Amino acid sequence: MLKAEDLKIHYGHVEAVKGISFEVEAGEIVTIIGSNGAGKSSTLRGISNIEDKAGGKVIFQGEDITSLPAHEIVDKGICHVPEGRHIFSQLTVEENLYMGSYSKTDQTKAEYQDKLARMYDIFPRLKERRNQDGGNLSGGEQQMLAIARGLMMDPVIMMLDEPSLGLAPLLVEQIIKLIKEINEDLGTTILLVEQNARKALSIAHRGYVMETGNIIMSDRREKLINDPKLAEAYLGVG
Amino acid sequence: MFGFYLSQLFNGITQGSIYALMAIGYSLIFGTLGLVTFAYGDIVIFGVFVGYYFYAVLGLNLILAMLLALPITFLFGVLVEKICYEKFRKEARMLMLITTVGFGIFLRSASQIIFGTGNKSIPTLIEGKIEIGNLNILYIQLGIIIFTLIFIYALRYFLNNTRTGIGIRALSMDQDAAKLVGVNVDKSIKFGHSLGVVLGVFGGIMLGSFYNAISPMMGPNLGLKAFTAVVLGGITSIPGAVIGGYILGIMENLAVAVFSSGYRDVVAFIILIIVLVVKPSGLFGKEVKF
Repeated sequence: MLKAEDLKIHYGHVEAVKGISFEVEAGEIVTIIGSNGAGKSSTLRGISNIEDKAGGKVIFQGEDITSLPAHEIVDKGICHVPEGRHIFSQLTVEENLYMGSYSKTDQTKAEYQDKLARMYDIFPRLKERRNQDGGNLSGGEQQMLAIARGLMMDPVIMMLDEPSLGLAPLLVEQIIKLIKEINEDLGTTILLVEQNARKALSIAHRGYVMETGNIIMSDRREKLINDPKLAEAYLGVG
Repeated sequence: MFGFYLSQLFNGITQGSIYALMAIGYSLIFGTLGLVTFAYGDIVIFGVFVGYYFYAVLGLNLILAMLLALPITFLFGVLVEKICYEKFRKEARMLMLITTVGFGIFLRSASQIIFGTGNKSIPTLIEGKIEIGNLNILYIQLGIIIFTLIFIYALRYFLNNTRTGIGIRALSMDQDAAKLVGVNVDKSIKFGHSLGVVLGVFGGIMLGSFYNAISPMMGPNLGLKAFTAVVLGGITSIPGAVIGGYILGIMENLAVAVFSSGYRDVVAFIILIIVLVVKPSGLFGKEVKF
């Protein structure tokens, strides 16, 4: 469904992503794990075209979307929940959710209200805080809001960048469970970028391991979990 | 004596309305581009001259000529955005800043060549006055105040209740996030910038109509007034810009009443310096971090 071929991203002379290729099939949860600075976030930013690519191709549902502007990539059904959540801090929670449906120009008011109600069902905390500014929410609530805002787009694929970053263990647990539910209940394909390899692999079907701009390993989840080298480097065992 | 101060106060409110209009335009531009502009006053005056050209040279009806100037300056705003900002989005911010300084000088000089260097007189858009005791209120003053309020509420409605408006607010807070929810950031920036220009030009037309004179040299001074009003109000706050505009207008006219008309422009500088020293975030702004 989503395919990156020889993707390269450079910041000046720094090669953050050095020509990687990977693929996500419909219905999968695929994770890209790796330590800080491995080029995971840059990869996602390259796909959604908020970062210029130095080379390579991105194919989505058979269509070359390599050089589409960011807002048209959203129209295709690719949702990117960025690292650090990027909530609109001075918009209310509800306005943030409204912004999630920004690209849905053909949606009726009733459909919008319906979707909003569904989000409030899934995230009761957001309903309680619907009229507060997004910036006043706690980290966990902001992450929920970022995901809910993404779901308002009815995405075909959701790319989540470090959704567990900076959250308390209990919240991490909740977010990971939520991602699995989005995949299973809504049928949304997931590309999950995480430093928390153990958590990511607990729900993923397949995984890629990135190190200094390259993919150094890719396999099914069971294989990755049991790989001794990986366990030592990323899973904190051994 | 009391009547004199009262009429100066009323003049101040009128003048404040004009500043408020220019200030919300400026604030909108600052919000969408995230940067101050030094070409604003010159762009505004250029816009008023476009209206003047339709009226004085092409012989159109005055009100029609001024109304025509608004959509034209909207398009002109798009052009300005292309020249001053679009190419430099990914470069150092300082580049855009310098470009606006240069563009302001260019536009002022071009206006002088096209329209002449001297003052041009514009008749009042609405003639007549009402007298209450010894207070004279011109219809144009009432018109300015009412139009300003209409524009403020229209802008507020636009920014809070329309898709494009909420999108502009969103992109002013976080451009990447705005892109990721599908905002065409380039288009929205152009729209916000042009809307700001049109608000300023409308303010300029009101000013020209109130004082019956315009000149290409008024640009930098007007730009400074708008800048002072938004800094006073807290630069990204639209209500702040309105209040800043009114305070500036009233203070100026009271200074004229107490001292002499030569002190009018000093007031803006004094306010600007005091605000920057005492409370750089302005009355309603978020705390500024450097």
